[in-house]
Amino acid sequence: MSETRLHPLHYHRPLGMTVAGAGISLLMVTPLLYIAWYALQAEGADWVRLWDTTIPQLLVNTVSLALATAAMTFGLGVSLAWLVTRYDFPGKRMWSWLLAMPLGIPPYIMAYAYTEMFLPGGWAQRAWQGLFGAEAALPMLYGHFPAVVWVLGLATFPYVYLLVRASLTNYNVAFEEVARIQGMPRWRRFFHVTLPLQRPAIMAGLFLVVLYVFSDFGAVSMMRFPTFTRAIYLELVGRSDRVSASVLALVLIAMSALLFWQERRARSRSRFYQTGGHYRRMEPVRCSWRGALAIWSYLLLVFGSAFGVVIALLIYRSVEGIELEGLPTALWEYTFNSLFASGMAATLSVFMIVPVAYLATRYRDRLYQVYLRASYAGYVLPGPIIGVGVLFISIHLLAPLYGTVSVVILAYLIRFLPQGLQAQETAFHQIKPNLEEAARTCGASFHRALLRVVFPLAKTGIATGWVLIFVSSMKELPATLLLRPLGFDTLAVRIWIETSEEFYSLAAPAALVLIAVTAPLFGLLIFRDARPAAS
Amino acid sequence: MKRIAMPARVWAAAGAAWLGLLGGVALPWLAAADELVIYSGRGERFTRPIVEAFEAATGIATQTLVGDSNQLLTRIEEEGERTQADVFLTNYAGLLDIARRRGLLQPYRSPAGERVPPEFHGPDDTWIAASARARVIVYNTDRVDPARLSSMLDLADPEWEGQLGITVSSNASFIGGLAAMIKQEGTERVRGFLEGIKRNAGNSVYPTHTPLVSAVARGEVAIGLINQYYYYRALAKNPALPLAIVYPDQETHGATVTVSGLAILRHAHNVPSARRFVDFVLSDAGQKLFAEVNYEFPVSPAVPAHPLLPQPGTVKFSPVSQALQVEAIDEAVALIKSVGLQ
Repeated sequence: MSETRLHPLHYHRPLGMTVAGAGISLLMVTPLLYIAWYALQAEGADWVRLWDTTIPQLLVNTVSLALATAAMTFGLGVSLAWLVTRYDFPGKRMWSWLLAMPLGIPPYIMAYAYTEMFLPGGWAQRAWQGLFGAEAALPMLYGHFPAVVWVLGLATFPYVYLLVRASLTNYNVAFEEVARIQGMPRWRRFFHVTLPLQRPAIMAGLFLVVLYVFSDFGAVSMMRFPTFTRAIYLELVGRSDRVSASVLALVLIAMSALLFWQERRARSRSRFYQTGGHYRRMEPVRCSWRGALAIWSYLLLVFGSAFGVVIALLIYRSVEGIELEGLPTALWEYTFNSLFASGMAATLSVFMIVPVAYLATRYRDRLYQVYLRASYAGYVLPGPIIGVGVLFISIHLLAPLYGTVSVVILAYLIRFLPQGLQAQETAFHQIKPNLEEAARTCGASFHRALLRVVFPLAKTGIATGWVLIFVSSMKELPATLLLRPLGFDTLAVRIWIETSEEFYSLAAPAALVLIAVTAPLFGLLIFRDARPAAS
Repeated sequence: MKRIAMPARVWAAAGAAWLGLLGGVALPWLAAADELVIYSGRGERFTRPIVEAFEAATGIATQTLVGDSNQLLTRIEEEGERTQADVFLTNYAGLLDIARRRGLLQPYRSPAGERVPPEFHGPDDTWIAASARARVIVYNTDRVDPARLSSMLDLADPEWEGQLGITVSSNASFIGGLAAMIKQEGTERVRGFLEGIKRNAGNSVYPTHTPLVSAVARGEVAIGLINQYYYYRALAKNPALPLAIVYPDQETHGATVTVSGLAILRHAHNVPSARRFVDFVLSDAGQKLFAEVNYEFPVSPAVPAHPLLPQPGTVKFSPVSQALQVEAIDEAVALIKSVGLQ
């Protein structure tokens, strides 16, 4: 990676950025320190009790859920990315965008929709009885492992799809042609040439999926499937038992950190470079009408399951709710609150990321690598832990902020900044430092070079980061539940409160608004491809 | 060196972000000056009518934060003297007693509380019950013969394996019911009971009582352990549901009672208004709301229970006082943990 660093002649630590980076990375690890401190207070007996009663089952549940979901998203994500990059069919551009939209549906809403359809009298049950007679019944989905995998898989496959699609779009078809000239049959070409070359993108996507499954709280709670994050939440806010919660959290954090470390190592090893100057994009294969029909049916099936039925159910329920209680007037207030807190979190993060990402990609300096690693802490911290950690920080260290929206924003920052950091880090890596050096040689200051050369070139990476943080914040639940100030409810909180009291038809309009705000933003990620994986 | 101006757009974005943040800081301070602030662990649909009636009766402006009782207790504890809350209204008095032991409450002897029987008062006048509820067994009338259910301990019988539904064990009423059982039956019998219901319930562990009652109604499980009012609420929504309840242990000590309650926080800013709120809840008007809106038993003998509920003398209730019951909370939680309930 040394080729992206600045020339040693320019090496001196920029003071402002170094100080800012220190502050930011320190802020990011405080919840981790908080939880470690509590875990240290656990006595041997606490560990033994948790190992004897809860941890093994939680481990089995969480790991098997993550693996099964990863397998499902791998199949869906790669096949969809392959179809929309390799084939030419009517509506291809529209589909590229539509397939990313399920990411805008919070998994707990997906979980609600599916469990509801499989309740007696639900759509799925009625359809089944229509086909096989009144006595036939499908199982209900509570605590049902394949159903939980299905829901989480549908909610997260776009991570894999987006990254693999970007990678396939930018990859050099010459490798494949060589294989073809050597007489390799088509399917072998796919498995032995094309697929291995997408490995970095696939791994990065699966990594996000697994982390998501580790940290999911809403969907597993709604489907009553015990995992670590749910258990941590119950210990923490249900029993006010911070010691047990932090012990469980440490186990989960260790698992996520291991995964994070592996992923970074694998990525730095497996960069694929193009060696010759012959770069050609792949020419998509024109489809016959039969082929196009087959592709359309597959895409419709996936999109229908992940987005269509959910939206249909929400609209149906909303109409019912509005007939019952009229249009919920406070909805606009919740929408504003959600937009405000998420927009603030995304905007602030994007600024805060710059020093950390820039220093780590431009300088060969241990300190800056420490900043970078520390700022990724939010990736491995479970949401409820961030909630309590921020509660602690804001009361004891940032007293004037307490009781305000800033506390919620701070939690979003810590939890989701890593997503933006990853996008910016990649973007900065792809800008050759000699461009900045040229600007500096011509007399531009450090800041001017940054503003006029680096930022414009990293624009899409920065925008991608913003979108990712914004959307995740809109969906955030456990920390918001704990930290929201008086009279400040977000859409996500309302959905949670109404569904937990089984007022589904009152939760549906809020869910629709939430999806309407977030889903279109993924167009931004698709139409200006932000993360060409291997350049 | 020449100073270089940052592009206007960058400044504008940074400026807007910070202004917004400052606005976020300032707004809540402007809003919450002399209002009464209530942290309510009772459902929003139940808190609202009481608060609205209180505002109408007294003209005192109130702000409420509705959430899970345990979660609010965590919050009050972390907030310490910085809390904005004046009153803590919860669905289980045990949580109030935990708050008392941690020094988070201040005493108040409400004149309206004089007629409330002594078993509903917390130690040192720190908290008082607002309503009483019985722990009952709800069953699906299509699937269950009620003769098989006479005691709470029957729920642990192997014959119910795979047919019992319970709430998550962190549910306050669940813990309260266990604490009362510990005082009544002794620790070892309760441990056996917990092991039995853990096996019988399996994965049928519901986040709250409402979905549990629905699950019994549609036959997902045959029986469930709930507070009585969830049953009446479900029937009010749909009278055709195949549901009925049993008030258990009528031959012996009577059905277990837990109470919802309220207290004034030690760091309350608005003590006079907080006291008026306590008075209001214990007044006839307040008690009537508890009885009518939510099918709970009033703690004031002057107010009758809802006509659908068993009238005085028809059902036998456990004599364990609330102050005694809440002493066993820690033991109940320790038992739950050692058995490893979800």
